[in-house]
Amino acid sequence: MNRTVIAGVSAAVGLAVVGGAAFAQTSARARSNVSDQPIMVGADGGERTNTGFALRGRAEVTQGQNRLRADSIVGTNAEGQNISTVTATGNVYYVTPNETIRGDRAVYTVSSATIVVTGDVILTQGKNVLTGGRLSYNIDTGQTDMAAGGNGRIQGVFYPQGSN
Amino acid sequence: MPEFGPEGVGQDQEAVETRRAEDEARLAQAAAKWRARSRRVQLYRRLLPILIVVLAGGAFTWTVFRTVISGVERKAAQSREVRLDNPMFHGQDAQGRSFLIGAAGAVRDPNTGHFRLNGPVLRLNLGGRKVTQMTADAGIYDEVKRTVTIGPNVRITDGGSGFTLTTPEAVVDTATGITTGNKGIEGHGPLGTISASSYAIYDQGERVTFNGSGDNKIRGVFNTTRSGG
Repeated sequence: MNRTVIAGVSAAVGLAVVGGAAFAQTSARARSNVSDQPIMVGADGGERTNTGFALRGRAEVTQGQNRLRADSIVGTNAEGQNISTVTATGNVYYVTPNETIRGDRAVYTVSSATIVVTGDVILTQGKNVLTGGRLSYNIDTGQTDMAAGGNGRIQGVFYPQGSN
Repeated sequence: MPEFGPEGVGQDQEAVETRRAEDEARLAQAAAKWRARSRRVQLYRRLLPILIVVLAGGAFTWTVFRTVISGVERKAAQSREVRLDNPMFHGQDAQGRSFLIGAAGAVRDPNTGHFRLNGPVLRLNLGGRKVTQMTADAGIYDEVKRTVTIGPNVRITDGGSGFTLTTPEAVVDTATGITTGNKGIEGHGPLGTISASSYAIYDQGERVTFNGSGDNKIRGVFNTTRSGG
């Protein structure tokens, strides 16, 4: 685990060095309050359960300008409370105005404004691409923490500013 | 051989004529009787067919008349409407959960046997922790199919989630306890709002499913913990 964290930090440092692809920190001001906004949902079918709701078939959750799409999305809440956690499984895509994150599973915790994507994660920002096994992404600040999964490594392709 | 004088001849001739006259009289009398009998026979030959036709027609007419009268009597007996004020039907679904179907008034339709409900109120999951209640302007209770179709202006208070759902029509299967509708539905509650093309309420309100139709997906806006509702 330490190795993955170190790898993530190294990647962040690497990004800072190349100076262009700001995976680690983007404009926090532009992203602020995304997690405070209501969640809009859409799907072919859904179900209200005692613990929240479940969406299936072209399921998507939109909050602000951020969009989460997956085969299945489940939102949970405490009884009589608002949605606190959103879990997406199967062909997960989380798209923001600046990044696109793909993975097998994603868990969005509203209280911490953090979405954790796991399973063959691909993070794309412009032409820059970063792959790994686990990605933690703060939707308000844009802070990204990529870690390798299993025996894999973090790999990335970065284009310095000004390059073609 | 005796000989007769003129007087004896005259007497014989008179006797012959007398006998001849008597014969003619008998013959005339017999002929008259025969003619009278012939007339009666002719009369009977005319009257009997008419009598047969009249009797057969009468029998047929009576049969038809009784049939029509029986139908009218039966229909008249069936056409009596049954009106109920503030009726309440209590029942249980397949899982043994109690439900109640009430109305401000009910009229039994003599043609269909269905109850037309005015201002129906359905309460599902009676005895459970959270009761689901449905109200509408009108409804139909089919005792044979064990279904209640209510609408328009259906309002469902979902005890499980606190959602209030509005829809033009809801069909409640009292045998299974499942409520369905495919004329669109909108809901709002503590969680947020939702709209869908069709829906189904299972387990007496414990579980609600929504479905879109074609390109029309279900849509909703849910409040988050951070947004505070």
